[in-house]
Amino acid sequence: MFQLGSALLDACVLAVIKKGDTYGYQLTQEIRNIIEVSESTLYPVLRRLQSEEMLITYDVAHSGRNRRYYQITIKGREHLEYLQNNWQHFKAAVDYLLLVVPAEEDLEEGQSIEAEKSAKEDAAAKAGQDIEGEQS
Amino acid sequence: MTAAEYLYDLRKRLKQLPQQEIDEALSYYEEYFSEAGPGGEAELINRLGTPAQVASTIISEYAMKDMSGQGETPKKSSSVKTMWIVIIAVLASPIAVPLAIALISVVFSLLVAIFSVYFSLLVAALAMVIAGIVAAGIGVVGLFAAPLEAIAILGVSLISLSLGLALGIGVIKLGQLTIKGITWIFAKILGRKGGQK
Repeated sequence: MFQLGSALLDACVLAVIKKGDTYGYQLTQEIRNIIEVSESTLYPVLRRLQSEEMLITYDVAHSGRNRRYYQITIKGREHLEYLQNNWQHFKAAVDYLLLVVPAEEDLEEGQSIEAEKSAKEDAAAKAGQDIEGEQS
Repeated sequence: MTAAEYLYDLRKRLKQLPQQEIDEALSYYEEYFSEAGPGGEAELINRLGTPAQVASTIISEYAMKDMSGQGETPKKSSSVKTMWIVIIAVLASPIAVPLAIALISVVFSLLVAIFSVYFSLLVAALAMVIAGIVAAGIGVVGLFAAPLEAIAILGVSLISLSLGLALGIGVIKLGQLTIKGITWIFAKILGRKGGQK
Protein backbone atom coordinates (compact mmCIF):
# COMPACT_ATOMS: atom_id res chain seq x y z
CA MET A 1 0.00 0.00 0.00
CA PHE A 2 2.68 2.50 1.00
CA GLN A 3 5.58 2.67 -1.41
CA LEU A 4 9.20 3.33 -0.62
CA GLY A 5 10.47 6.42 -2.40
CA SER A 6 13.98 6.65 -3.69
CA ALA A 7 15.47 8.14 -0.50
CA LEU A 8 13.89 5.46 1.69
CA LEU A 9 15.01 2.70 -0.65
CA ASP A 10 18.54 4.05 -0.43
CA ALA A 11 18.26 4.05 3.35
CA CYS A 12 16.95 0.46 3.53
CA VAL A 13 19.60 -0.85 1.15
CA LEU A 14 22.40 0.94 2.99
CA ALA A 15 21.10 -0.25 6.35
CA VAL A 16 20.99 -3.90 5.29
CA ILE A 17 24.43 -3.76 3.69
CA LYS A 18 25.89 -1.99 6.72
CA LYS A 19 24.97 -5.08 8.73
CA GLY A 20 27.20 -7.19 6.50
CA ASP A 21 28.35 -7.48 2.90
CA THR A 22 25.79 -9.12 0.69
CA TYR A 23 24.98 -9.87 -2.95
CA GLY A 24 22.04 -8.74 -5.06
CA TYR A 25 19.80 -11.77 -4.73
CA GLN A 26 20.24 -12.14 -1.00
CA LEU A 27 19.76 -8.44 -0.40
CA THR A 28 16.55 -8.41 -2.43
CA GLN A 29 15.13 -11.43 -0.61
CA GLU A 30 16.10 -9.99 2.76
CA ILE A 31 14.30 -6.74 2.06
CA ARG A 32 11.36 -8.50 0.45
CA ASN A 33 10.93 -10.64 3.53
CA ILE A 34 10.21 -7.52 5.52
CA ILE A 35 8.67 -5.09 3.11
CA GLU A 36 6.98 -5.30 -0.26
CA VAL A 37 9.32 -4.14 -3.04
CA SER A 38 9.32 -5.30 -6.61
CA GLU A 39 12.07 -7.71 -7.52
CA SER A 40 13.59 -5.38 -10.12
CA THR A 41 13.60 -2.24 -7.95
CA LEU A 42 16.92 -2.78 -6.26
CA TYR A 43 19.36 -3.09 -9.16
CA PRO A 44 19.08 0.58 -10.20
CA VAL A 45 19.38 1.60 -6.55
CA LEU A 46 22.52 -0.49 -6.07
CA ARG A 47 24.00 0.81 -9.30
CA ARG A 48 23.35 4.41 -8.32
CA LEU A 49 24.71 4.01 -4.78
CA GLN A 50 27.75 2.36 -6.32
CA SER A 51 28.37 5.22 -8.72
CA GLU A 52 27.89 7.69 -5.87
CA GLU A 53 30.66 5.82 -4.05
CA MET A 54 28.44 4.80 -1.16
CA LEU A 55 28.94 1.15 -2.04
CA ILE A 56 31.84 -0.75 -3.50
CA THR A 57 31.71 -4.23 -5.00
CA TYR A 58 33.97 -7.23 -5.03
CA ASP A 59 33.53 -10.60 -6.69
CA VAL A 60 33.64 -13.92 -4.92
CA ALA A 61 33.68 -17.25 -6.75
CA HIS A 62 30.86 -19.45 -5.55
CA SER A 63 30.24 -22.95 -6.93
CA GLY A 64 31.75 -22.21 -10.30
CA ARG A 65 30.24 -18.77 -10.82
CA ASN A 66 30.48 -15.29 -9.54
CA ARG A 67 28.80 -13.52 -6.72
CA ARG A 68 29.15 -9.75 -6.66
CA TYR A 69 29.18 -8.58 -3.06
CA TYR A 70 28.31 -5.05 -2.05
CA GLN A 71 30.11 -3.33 0.78
CA ILE A 72 29.25 0.00 2.40
CA THR A 73 31.84 2.80 2.30
CA ILE A 74 32.46 5.55 4.84
CA LYS A 75 30.55 7.93 2.61
CA GLY A 76 27.72 5.41 2.58
CA ARG A 77 27.66 5.19 6.37
CA GLU A 78 27.53 8.97 6.64
CA HIS A 79 24.71 9.13 4.14
CA LEU A 80 22.84 6.40 6.02
CA GLU A 81 23.13 8.39 9.25
CA TYR A 82 21.82 11.46 7.47
CA LEU A 83 18.89 9.47 6.09
CA GLN A 84 18.18 7.90 9.48
CA ASN A 85 17.98 11.34 11.12
CA ASN A 86 15.69 12.62 8.41
CA TRP A 87 13.54 9.55 8.69
CA GLN A 88 13.03 10.11 12.42
CA HIS A 89 11.76 13.61 11.77
CA PHE A 90 9.60 12.45 8.92
CA LYS A 91 8.22 9.56 10.95
CA ALA A 92 7.43 11.91 13.82
CA ALA A 93 5.67 14.26 11.43
CA VAL A 94 3.55 11.51 9.87
CA ASP A 95 2.79 9.99 13.28
CA TYR A 96 1.68 13.40 14.44
CA LEU A 97 -0.60 13.98 11.47
CA LEU A 98 -2.04 10.47 11.36
CA LEU A 99 -2.19 9.46 15.00
CA VAL A 100 -1.80 12.42 17.35
CA VAL A 101 -4.06 14.95 15.65
CA PRO A 102 -7.09 12.63 15.45
CA ALA A 103 -6.45 11.41 19.00
CA GLU A 104 -6.42 14.99 20.33
CA GLU A 105 -10.07 15.25 19.44
CA ASP A 106 -10.79 12.64 22.08
CA LEU A 107 -8.68 14.29 24.75
CA GLU A 108 -10.19 16.72 27.16
CA GLU A 109 -8.86 20.26 27.27
CA GLY A 110 -5.58 20.86 29.11
CA GLN A 111 -4.50 17.27 28.77
CA SER A 112 -2.19 17.77 25.83
CA ILE A 113 1.30 16.83 26.86
CA GLU A 114 4.58 18.66 26.43
CA ALA A 115 5.96 15.85 24.27
CA GLU A 116 3.22 16.37 21.79
CA LYS A 117 4.01 20.04 21.54
CA SER A 118 7.62 19.30 20.75
CA ALA A 119 6.54 16.71 18.21
CA LYS A 120 4.38 19.38 16.66
CA GLU A 121 7.30 21.80 16.41
CA ASP A 122 9.47 19.09 14.91
CA ALA A 123 6.80 18.27 12.44
CA ALA A 124 6.26 21.86 11.39
CA ALA A 125 9.97 22.38 10.90
CA LYS A 126 10.70 19.23 8.98
CA ALA A 127 7.52 18.02 7.34
CA GLY A 128 7.70 20.12 4.21
CA GLN A 129 11.14 19.12 2.99
CA ASP A 130 10.87 15.49 4.04
CA ILE A 131 7.57 14.94 2.31
CA GLU A 132 9.04 16.47 -0.79
CA GLY A 133 12.00 14.12 -0.55
CA GLU A 134 9.83 11.05 -0.12
CA GLN A 135 7.64 11.72 -3.08
CA SER A 136 10.42 12.00 -5.59
CA MET B 1 10.49 -17.90 -21.78
CA THR B 2 13.79 -19.24 -20.46
CA ALA B 3 16.33 -17.25 -18.47
CA ALA B 4 18.59 -17.02 -21.53
CA GLU B 5 15.78 -15.64 -23.68
CA TYR B 6 14.83 -13.22 -20.94
CA LEU B 7 18.38 -11.91 -20.62
CA TYR B 8 18.77 -11.68 -24.39
CA ASP B 9 15.60 -9.60 -24.61
CA LEU B 10 16.77 -7.41 -21.73
CA ARG B 11 20.12 -6.77 -23.43
CA LYS B 12 18.36 -5.73 -26.63
CA ARG B 13 16.21 -3.26 -24.73
CA LEU B 14 19.21 -1.67 -22.99
CA LYS B 15 21.00 -1.05 -26.30
CA GLN B 16 21.05 2.73 -26.01
CA LEU B 17 22.96 2.71 -22.73
CA PRO B 18 26.78 2.75 -22.66
CA GLN B 19 28.28 -0.71 -23.06
CA GLN B 20 29.55 -0.71 -19.48
CA GLU B 21 26.07 -0.11 -18.06
CA ILE B 22 24.64 -2.90 -20.20
CA ASP B 23 27.32 -5.35 -19.09
CA GLU B 24 26.83 -4.43 -15.42
CA ALA B 25 23.08 -4.88 -15.59
CA LEU B 26 23.31 -8.14 -17.51
CA SER B 27 25.89 -9.65 -15.19
CA TYR B 28 23.71 -8.65 -12.21
CA TYR B 29 20.65 -10.35 -13.66
CA GLU B 30 22.62 -13.36 -14.88
CA GLU B 31 23.86 -13.82 -11.32
CA TYR B 32 20.34 -13.22 -10.09
CA PHE B 33 18.93 -15.99 -12.27
CA SER B 34 21.59 -18.45 -11.22
CA GLU B 35 20.88 -17.67 -7.55
CA ALA B 36 17.22 -18.44 -8.13
CA GLY B 37 18.27 -21.78 -9.64
CA PRO B 38 16.79 -23.52 -12.68
CA GLY B 39 13.69 -24.50 -10.70
CA GLY B 40 12.90 -20.95 -9.68
CA GLU B 41 13.33 -19.55 -13.18
CA ALA B 42 9.70 -19.31 -14.23
CA GLU B 43 8.61 -17.94 -10.88
CA LEU B 44 11.42 -15.38 -10.88
CA ILE B 45 10.47 -14.17 -14.36
CA ASN B 46 6.95 -13.82 -13.06
CA ARG B 47 8.12 -11.71 -10.11
CA LEU B 48 10.53 -9.60 -12.16
CA GLY B 49 7.96 -8.57 -14.75
CA THR B 50 8.70 -8.29 -18.46
CA PRO B 51 12.21 -7.48 -19.75
CA ALA B 52 10.72 -4.18 -20.94
CA GLN B 53 9.73 -3.26 -17.38
CA VAL B 54 13.12 -4.20 -15.97
CA ALA B 55 14.84 -2.27 -18.76
CA SER B 56 12.75 0.83 -18.14
CA THR B 57 13.66 0.90 -14.43
CA ILE B 58 17.34 0.73 -15.38
CA ILE B 59 17.10 3.31 -18.15
CA SER B 60 15.10 5.85 -16.18
CA GLU B 61 17.44 5.58 -13.20
CA TYR B 62 20.41 6.00 -15.53
CA ALA B 63 18.87 9.02 -17.23
CA MET B 64 18.15 10.67 -13.86
CA LYS B 65 21.67 10.04 -12.65
CA ASP B 66 23.03 11.50 -15.86
CA MET B 67 20.88 14.63 -15.56
CA SER B 68 21.74 15.30 -11.94
CA GLY B 69 25.39 15.28 -12.99
CA GLN B 70 26.37 12.44 -10.71
CA GLY B 71 27.49 10.18 -13.53
CA GLU B 72 31.03 8.92 -13.23
CA THR B 73 32.19 10.58 -16.46
CA PRO B 74 31.48 14.31 -16.62
CA LYS B 75 31.80 14.48 -20.41
CA LYS B 76 30.75 17.74 -21.98
CA SER B 77 28.50 15.91 -24.43
CA SER B 78 26.58 14.21 -21.62
CA SER B 79 23.62 16.56 -22.07
CA VAL B 80 23.24 15.38 -25.65
CA LYS B 81 23.45 11.81 -24.42
CA THR B 82 20.87 12.49 -21.73
CA MET B 83 18.54 14.07 -24.24
CA TRP B 84 18.89 11.04 -26.45
CA ILE B 85 18.24 8.62 -23.59
CA VAL B 86 15.21 10.60 -22.50
CA ILE B 87 13.89 10.48 -26.06
CA ILE B 88 14.44 6.72 -26.16
CA ALA B 89 12.77 6.30 -22.77
CA VAL B 90 9.79 8.32 -23.95
CA LEU B 91 9.59 6.30 -27.16
CA ALA B 92 9.69 3.10 -25.14
CA SER B 93 6.37 3.92 -23.51
CA PRO B 94 3.22 3.24 -25.52
CA ILE B 95 1.65 6.70 -25.01
CA ALA B 96 4.48 8.24 -26.94
CA VAL B 97 3.81 6.60 -30.30
CA PRO B 98 1.78 9.54 -31.67
CA LEU B 99 4.45 11.85 -30.31
CA ALA B 100 7.11 9.88 -32.14
CA ILE B 101 5.14 10.05 -35.36
CA ALA B 102 4.82 13.83 -34.95
CA LEU B 103 8.53 14.18 -34.26
CA ILE B 104 9.48 12.10 -37.28
CA SER B 105 7.06 14.10 -39.47
CA VAL B 106 8.55 17.39 -38.33
CA VAL B 107 12.09 16.22 -39.07
CA PHE B 108 10.99 14.78 -42.41
CA SER B 109 9.17 17.96 -43.47
CA LEU B 110 12.22 20.05 -42.55
CA LEU B 111 14.36 17.85 -44.75
CA VAL B 112 11.84 18.10 -47.61
CA ALA B 113 11.74 21.90 -47.25
CA ILE B 114 15.52 22.19 -47.36
CA PHE B 115 15.78 19.95 -50.40
CA SER B 116 12.99 21.69 -52.30
CA VAL B 117 14.68 25.07 -51.84
CA TYR B 118 17.91 23.52 -53.04
CA PHE B 119 16.20 21.89 -56.00
CA SER B 120 14.45 25.09 -57.08
CA LEU B 121 17.74 27.00 -57.00
CA LEU B 122 19.32 24.30 -59.11
CA VAL B 123 16.48 24.45 -61.64
CA ALA B 124 16.82 28.25 -61.81
CA ALA B 125 20.54 27.92 -62.53
CA LEU B 126 19.87 25.30 -65.20
CA ALA B 127 17.21 27.53 -66.82
CA MET B 128 19.64 30.46 -66.96
CA VAL B 129 22.31 28.31 -68.60
CA ILE B 130 19.85 26.93 -71.18
CA ALA B 131 18.43 30.40 -71.88
CA GLY B 132 21.98 31.68 -72.32
CA ILE B 133 22.85 28.96 -74.83
CA VAL B 134 19.61 29.41 -76.81
CA ALA B 135 19.99 33.19 -76.87
CA ALA B 136 23.61 32.85 -77.98
CA GLY B 137 22.44 30.63 -80.85
CA ILE B 138 19.85 33.22 -81.88
CA GLY B 139 22.46 35.96 -81.65
CA VAL B 140 24.90 34.10 -83.92
CA VAL B 141 22.20 33.30 -86.46
CA GLY B 142 20.94 36.93 -86.45
CA LEU B 143 24.43 38.40 -86.68
CA PHE B 144 24.09 39.02 -90.43
CA ALA B 145 20.45 40.12 -90.52
CA ALA B 146 20.59 42.66 -87.66
CA PRO B 147 24.14 42.96 -86.27
CA LEU B 148 23.46 45.49 -83.47
CA GLU B 149 20.51 43.66 -81.97
CA ALA B 150 22.32 40.36 -82.40
CA ILE B 151 25.36 41.62 -80.50
CA ALA B 152 23.11 42.89 -77.71
CA ILE B 153 21.39 39.48 -77.55
CA LEU B 154 24.79 37.75 -77.53
CA GLY B 155 25.93 39.93 -74.63
CA VAL B 156 22.81 39.22 -72.62
CA SER B 157 23.11 35.51 -73.38
CA LEU B 158 26.69 35.45 -72.11
CA ILE B 159 25.67 37.26 -68.91
CA SER B 160 22.86 34.76 -68.39
CA LEU B 161 25.18 31.83 -69.11
CA SER B 162 27.85 32.97 -66.68
CA LEU B 163 25.36 33.87 -63.91
CA GLY B 164 23.65 30.51 -64.39
CA LEU B 165 26.94 28.63 -64.13
CA ALA B 166 27.99 30.59 -61.05
CA LEU B 167 24.64 29.98 -59.37
CA GLY B 168 24.76 26.30 -60.30
CA ILE B 169 28.24 25.81 -58.83
CA GLY B 170 27.23 27.75 -55.72
CA VAL B 171 24.09 25.66 -55.23
CA ILE B 172 26.01 22.39 -55.65
CA LYS B 173 28.59 23.51 -53.07
CA LEU B 174 25.81 24.59 -50.71
CA GLY B 175 24.08 21.25 -51.22
CA GLN B 176 27.22 19.33 -50.35
CA LEU B 177 27.65 21.43 -47.20
CA THR B 178 24.01 20.87 -46.23
CA ILE B 179 24.27 17.11 -46.66
CA LYS B 180 27.50 17.08 -44.68
CA GLY B 181 25.85 19.11 -41.93
CA ILE B 182 22.81 16.86 -41.76
CA THR B 183 24.86 13.67 -41.70
CA TRP B 184 27.07 15.23 -39.03
CA ILE B 185 24.05 16.01 -36.84
CA PHE B 186 22.64 12.51 -37.29
CA ALA B 187 26.01 10.93 -36.66
CA LYS B 188 26.32 12.95 -33.46
CA ILE B 189 22.90 11.83 -32.26
CA LEU B 190 23.08 8.22 -33.46
CA GLY B 191 26.71 7.88 -32.38
CA ARG B 192 25.46 8.02 -28.77
CA LYS B 193 23.07 5.17 -29.38
CA GLY B 194 25.55 2.34 -29.35
CA GLY B 195 27.71 3.89 -26.66
CA GLN B 196 31.47 3.48 -27.07
CA LYS B 197 32.08 1.24 -30.03
